[in-house]
Amino acid sequence: MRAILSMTAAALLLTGLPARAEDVERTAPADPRGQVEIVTASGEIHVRGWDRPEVKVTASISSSEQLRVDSSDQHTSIRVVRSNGGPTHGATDLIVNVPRTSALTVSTISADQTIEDVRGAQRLQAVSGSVTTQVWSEELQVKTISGDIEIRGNKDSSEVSIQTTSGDITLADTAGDLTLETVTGDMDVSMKELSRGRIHTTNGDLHLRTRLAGDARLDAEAINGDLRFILRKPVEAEFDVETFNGAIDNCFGPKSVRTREFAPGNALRFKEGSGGARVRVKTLNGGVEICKE
Amino acid sequence: MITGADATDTTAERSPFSDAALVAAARGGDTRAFERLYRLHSGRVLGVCLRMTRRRDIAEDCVQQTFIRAWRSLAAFEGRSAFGTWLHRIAVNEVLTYARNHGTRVEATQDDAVEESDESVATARDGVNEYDTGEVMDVERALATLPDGSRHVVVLQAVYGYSHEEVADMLGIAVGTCKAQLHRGRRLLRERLGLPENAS
Amino acid sequence: MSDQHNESARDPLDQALASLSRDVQPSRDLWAGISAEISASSPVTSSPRHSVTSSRSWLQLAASVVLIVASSITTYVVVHRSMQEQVLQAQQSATQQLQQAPVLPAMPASFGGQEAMGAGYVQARAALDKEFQQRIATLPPVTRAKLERDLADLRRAAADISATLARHPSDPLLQELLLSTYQSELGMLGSVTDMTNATETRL
Repeated sequence: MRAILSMTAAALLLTGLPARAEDVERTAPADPRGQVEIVTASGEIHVRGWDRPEVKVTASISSSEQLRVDSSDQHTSIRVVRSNGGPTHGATDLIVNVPRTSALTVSTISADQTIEDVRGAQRLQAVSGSVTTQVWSEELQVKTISGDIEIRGNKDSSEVSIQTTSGDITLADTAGDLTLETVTGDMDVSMKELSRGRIHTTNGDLHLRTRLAGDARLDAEAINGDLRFILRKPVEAEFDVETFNGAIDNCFGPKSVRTREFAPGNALRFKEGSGGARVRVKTLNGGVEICKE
Repeated sequence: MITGADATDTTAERSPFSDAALVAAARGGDTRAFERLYRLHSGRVLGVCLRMTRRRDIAEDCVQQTFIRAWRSLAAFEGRSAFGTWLHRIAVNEVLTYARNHGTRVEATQDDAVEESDESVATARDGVNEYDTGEVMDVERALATLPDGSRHVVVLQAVYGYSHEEVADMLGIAVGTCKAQLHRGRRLLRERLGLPENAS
Repeated sequence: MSDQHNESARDPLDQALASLSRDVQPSRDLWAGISAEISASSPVTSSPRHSVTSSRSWLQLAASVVLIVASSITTYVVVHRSMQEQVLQAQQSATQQLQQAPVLPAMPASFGGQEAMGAGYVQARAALDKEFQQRIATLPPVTRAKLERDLADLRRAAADISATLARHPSDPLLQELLLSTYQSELGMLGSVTDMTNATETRL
């Protein structure tokens, strides 16, 4: 921690910026099931869950900034704000300890967010910063514009919703419901089991490895991105796959057929096993690959 | 990280360490070191230029312009990519600039494309050839018949191994357009080579 | 797909392309011409930056000052709701239009096809776009350039689909994907605005 603070202070000095860095620490009582909200512009945010009923913030901030920690009832708000109205210089690193079962909201512009051991619901958003977090059984919502997103689950069933424009998504060991939306970001997803999946991408590629729940519903759509599905056995699903220009490549089931004699279009529709789950895939140019393992 | 065309090159002569040493020497004004770089990389640069322009005379001009520009810009090469990759970026830029300056696309007639394919493009690499000369010529010929946009993307991505993002950046197009062009190009190649539509 | 080696193992087209030699020998020694040119000059110590083509005729790039968007929580809540309402309204208008006219008119690509989504959609989109431009002007130049490229990607995808739809006007897959792409565009415009509003950094 001291290394981070020293490095931050040193960086500010080396750039010749006028602000002097000051180490601050604030502690406030917090309901273990309360909400914690963190808002800052840039730097690095580390949030760690602990078993104390309080929030502790450690930061290195310049003299032109203020660290505001407001705590009331079940809500704790942590902000780094400008005190003189001018533009901020440099980045602010925050280390925040919160009750493990808190509901957490973090909003940043270019700060990277790393969240560990926070088991309440999480709403994390960053314009260009990256987001790394873990999920248990509570809801997780992550939004970035260009920041990469990395999520590790603990195999509990949860609702995960990720929206990014160009960030890449890596998701492992989750289960339950999943919503993914990207424009160009690629998605590498490995789940224990999928119940409800909604995936939409314009140009990103998807690699999804999962088992389908018995009544799973998976809807995936891509314009130019390639979609690759590796489904763990047993696979009991109805498949409805259609592309305009893309190739359909499946390791099991019948071969795809042309949908029009004199125009583009490929389709693959079949039932595997009892067909309880439904898999619907549509692309314009993206290729589709479906295999079992 | 080495990407693109140099990624699969395993010869000692092409090792990034020898390139780095040659680049450092060339930066200091050593033209013999730069000639060595030319000897190591010109074959691939010509391969890129020829397949993009489909005209040997234009492609060879492109190679010369590429190396001249590279000499003049050596200070700008920061070593973040492989030297060969950097050269290919310059070469692609030269091809596109030529096309813009000459008002029309760099397009050979069907006959020119066939003639160039027969005479100039090397046959498959030794030891990695599952196709006889006739089949390789068909692939080269089919590639030459693709429209510019698709052909550029297929050459850079499928022949020289660059990623979508790298190809899009080199050609100054969006990643989505790059993917669409690749799909289109592959579909046209399958049709012209009489290959089945699906991968399997 | 991403794994080129596995692809090559199965796909005859990939095998054929991989079999092409990357090296081509010139018909003459080109070094002489290069040598003559470079002998007259040393490598330059600096070179002009390769400029990133990022301008679009409909975008106005603001001055590149690193600022953080500031707004009070109240304004955030009001604007946030306003943006969400606009996105929702636009999406509803587009969906309604599609339901009333299941076959989208084959608008020429030059018109963008968005007029087919209804007046409500067009107005909401224009408002979102205006707000988006104002927001991204306050972001760091690298982030702004990336956003503009991504939005251009989206719009290019829509234009591609729209042009394809003009050739195959009754194709339901194309209609679905075009609507979906327009919705993605609205979502992106709204998200960027929401997210930049969400951070308060000025007292």
